[in-house]
Amino acid sequence: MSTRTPDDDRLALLQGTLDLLILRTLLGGAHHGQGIARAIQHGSRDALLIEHGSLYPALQRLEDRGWIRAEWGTSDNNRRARFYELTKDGAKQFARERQQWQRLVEVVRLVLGPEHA
Amino acid sequence: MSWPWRRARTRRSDEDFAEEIRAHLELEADQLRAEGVMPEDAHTLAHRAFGNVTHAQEHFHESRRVLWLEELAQDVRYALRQLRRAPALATVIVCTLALGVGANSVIFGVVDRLLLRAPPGVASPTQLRRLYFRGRSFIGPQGNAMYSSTMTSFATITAMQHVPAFAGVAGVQHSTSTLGRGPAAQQVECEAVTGNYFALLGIHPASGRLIEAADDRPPVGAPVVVLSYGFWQRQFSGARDVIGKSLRVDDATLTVIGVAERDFNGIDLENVDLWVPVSTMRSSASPYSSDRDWTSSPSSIWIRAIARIAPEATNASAGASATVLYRRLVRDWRSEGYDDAPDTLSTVIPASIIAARGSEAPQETRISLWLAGVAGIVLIIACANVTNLLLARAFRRRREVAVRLALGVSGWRLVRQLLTETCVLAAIATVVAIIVAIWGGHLVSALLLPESFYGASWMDGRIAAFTAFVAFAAALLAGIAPALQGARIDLAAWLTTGVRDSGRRSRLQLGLLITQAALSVVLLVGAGLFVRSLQRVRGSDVGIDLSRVLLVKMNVDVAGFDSSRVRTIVEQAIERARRVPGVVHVTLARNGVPKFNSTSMSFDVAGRASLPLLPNGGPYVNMVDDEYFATLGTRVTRGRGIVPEDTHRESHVAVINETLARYYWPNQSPLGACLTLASYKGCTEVVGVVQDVLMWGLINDERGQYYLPRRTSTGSAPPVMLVRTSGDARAVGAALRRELQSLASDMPYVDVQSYADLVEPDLRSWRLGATMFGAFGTLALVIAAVGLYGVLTYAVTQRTREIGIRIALGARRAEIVRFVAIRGVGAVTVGVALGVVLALATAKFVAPMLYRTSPRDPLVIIGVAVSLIVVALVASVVPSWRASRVDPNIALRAE
Repeated sequence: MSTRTPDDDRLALLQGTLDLLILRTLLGGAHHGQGIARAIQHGSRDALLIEHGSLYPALQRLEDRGWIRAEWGTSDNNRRARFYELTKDGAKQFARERQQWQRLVEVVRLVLGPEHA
Repeated sequence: MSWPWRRARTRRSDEDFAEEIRAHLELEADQLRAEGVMPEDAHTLAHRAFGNVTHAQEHFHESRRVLWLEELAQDVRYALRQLRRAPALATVIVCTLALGVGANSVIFGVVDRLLLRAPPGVASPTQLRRLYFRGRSFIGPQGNAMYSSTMTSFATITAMQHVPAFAGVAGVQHSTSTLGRGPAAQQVECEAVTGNYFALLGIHPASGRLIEAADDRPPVGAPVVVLSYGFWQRQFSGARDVIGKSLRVDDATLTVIGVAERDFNGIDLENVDLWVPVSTMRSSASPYSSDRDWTSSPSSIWIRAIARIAPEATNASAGASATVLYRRLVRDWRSEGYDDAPDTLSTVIPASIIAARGSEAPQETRISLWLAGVAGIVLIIACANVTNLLLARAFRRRREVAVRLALGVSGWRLVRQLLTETCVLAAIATVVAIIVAIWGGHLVSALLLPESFYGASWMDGRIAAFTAFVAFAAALLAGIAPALQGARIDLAAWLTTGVRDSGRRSRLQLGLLITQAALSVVLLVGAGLFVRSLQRVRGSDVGIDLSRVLLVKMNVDVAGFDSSRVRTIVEQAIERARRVPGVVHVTLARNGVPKFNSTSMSFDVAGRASLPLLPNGGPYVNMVDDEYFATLGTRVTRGRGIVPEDTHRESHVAVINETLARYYWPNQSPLGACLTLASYKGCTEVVGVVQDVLMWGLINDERGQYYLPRRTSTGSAPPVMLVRTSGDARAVGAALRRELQSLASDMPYVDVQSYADLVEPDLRSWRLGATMFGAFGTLALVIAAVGLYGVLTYAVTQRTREIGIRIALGARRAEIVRFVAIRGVGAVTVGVALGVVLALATAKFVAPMLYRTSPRDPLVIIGVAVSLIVVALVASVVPSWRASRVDPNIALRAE
């Protein structure tokens, strides 16, 4: 058996993307983890299948970097939940990352060339 | 950017995180239910959507640490806990590493100072060169060997100033001088230097000023002296007012003008107390010296040349242009009638300022390089051993590792943790190794090197850094395989059946064991060969009873006494010496052997057109009194020695040594042969033959020697005194010195040395070889024995079940013991066989360092092989015994 085999490339890409998606979600206001997961899934029209569990390391990382902050609060249906919201730095970071992402997409498209029929 | 402390403050607990996940799952389940999922499925689906909860928590846990630093701290704590759990194992590993690494640090310290470091204090040492003059030797009429020497004439140094590739050339001569007179007289190490010496080396004064060009004006220089910093501290406690004081050095009164900077203590390893201008030293030197034209005579060879290469010049171009100039100079000298000028095809070789890198490298250099190799082998053995012990430990911890793997700890994380443990061991080993190195360094420097070599402290940053580097490199090298193996447990196999002996691992262990045994054999054979050499050197008959004879030099030649005063003092000295208790004989001779002013003087033999070549030049002559041979303990083998009548009347007789007899009169008696000397054209009759007496070294010192009666009237320089004692000469030496030092109020320093001390440096290389090879070999043996013990113990633990089955099936205890022991002893035997082959193969490389000992000495090789196997047997005793005590019931039920 073994334990998970770390596949650094995949993880790194996924992490970066996930960060961007989380920041985008929080741009609309504070959310708890489950809410963020649902929002991303919904936003992607369920095309993205995210393990909810993988969200938390990303949240933690963003919190550590000071891009989001968290506070315990109460959800709409009266459950205790940890709510995340974007910080000022986080908003700036989102702008940066989105720009980078778009450039990446542009560049990749450029390299792949026009689609052949 | 977030900082560790900030993070530490806002740290979330694992519980807090767990709660968040619980909340998430609840929220998800709520939502699923709201979406119409059956309540009993909602939780399952929420979990499924979440993925691996443990995974997330571990991830969270990991992300909480301040990157590697915190993780490291935890690993270190964990490692320390592990080490405390098995303190014996940890101690053995640390000691093995520390000894192996410490041995290397000691040798590094020696090699570093001998070969890697420029003399401290000098500016831009890479531009400095020692000049070597290579050509055919003209020592003695028959000498014709190529030689290479730094010694040259002052005239050469003067001429070399004109080589454009040299920014400057300075000269330096080392001598031992007497400071002060009477009872307070002492010996100082003095260097005569040219006026540009300090400027060329870029030395600054610590106080006052240094010797300058204006001080050194041949033929008579300024009466000034510069103190070394160390001497200033020792002699004057660093007093500021020392400048302007007068010092009596030999027969000159010199004024102290300054103190050299602290770091600088000459360019050699020897200690220096004083620097004096060359011209001052020469003008005040012995009145008996015939060297009046020392500035211009090419045959007056006594000074060494140091050059600074011009920044734009290369070594090759400097050497080439210096050679061209030197050859022209030599041709001029020859045309001027100097027959003893150097070879016209001589070359000038600018070599490193580090003496040990040149052709006059001391024996210690070669030996220290050998020892570096030997220390490397010890380290390899130590590494092999540590690897073995770590493998054994990894096996013992397989259960723990398997459990951790099952719990989902990543393999890499485990490897890292095991390596951290290794690093913790390395850190402890570094500390211990530094202690070992300090202790060993003192030992080696006492054995190997001149006192001043290490200065005040042996350990310094460079050696400490080297120690740490080697310790970590060795530990990681030794630890990487066990760490990888340790983390690579086949979990499925382990969980179903329990881990069996992995064939690969045990093969690795046996391989390491064989390697250790083989290398130990090589080292121990080396040790044995050196011990045999040392014994034979010690036991060799050098023609002198080394422990019974004192050499006394009264230095009256440099005291400025006139010849009648010298004669009176010498006569009084003989009288006084005879009265000192323990003194048996007192005699005078022109030269004291060994290593002192041996005079080469050729002669013809009546009726012979030519004489055969002698080994090592010569023949060498000494003028001696009648008690000379009795005093030294030299045996007269044929005819007679010098008798009192020979010295008193004008009898022309000579005594020759065995070598001379063998070369000049092979298969016939030399007795009665007539020698024609340069000083006396009549017949000087050979009346006796004595055994060879050592001159320059204890070995390979076969030289033609002959003795003439010493005539008080013709001897110009004052003689040396030789004293034979009834017991150990060293015990009498101090009393004799006190007695002679008080002969006169203006007596120069009287130097009294026992021959045993004089030849001590010659024994040094063998003693060092024997000691170091012995120490390293024993170390290797101990390490190998510990390794064997560890491996066998491990094997027994591993095969407990198998042994249990065998016992259950009726195997006898003796068979079990054999079964276990055969494995280790067998491996060691294979290793010993390999080691013997290796030792025989490398024999020819050691041969030049041995003395009358074959590098394939069967006694040594057999002795080592047998003792190693015995050690292997002893190391197998305990594990085998333990195996024979295995209780089959427990063993079979254990799993």
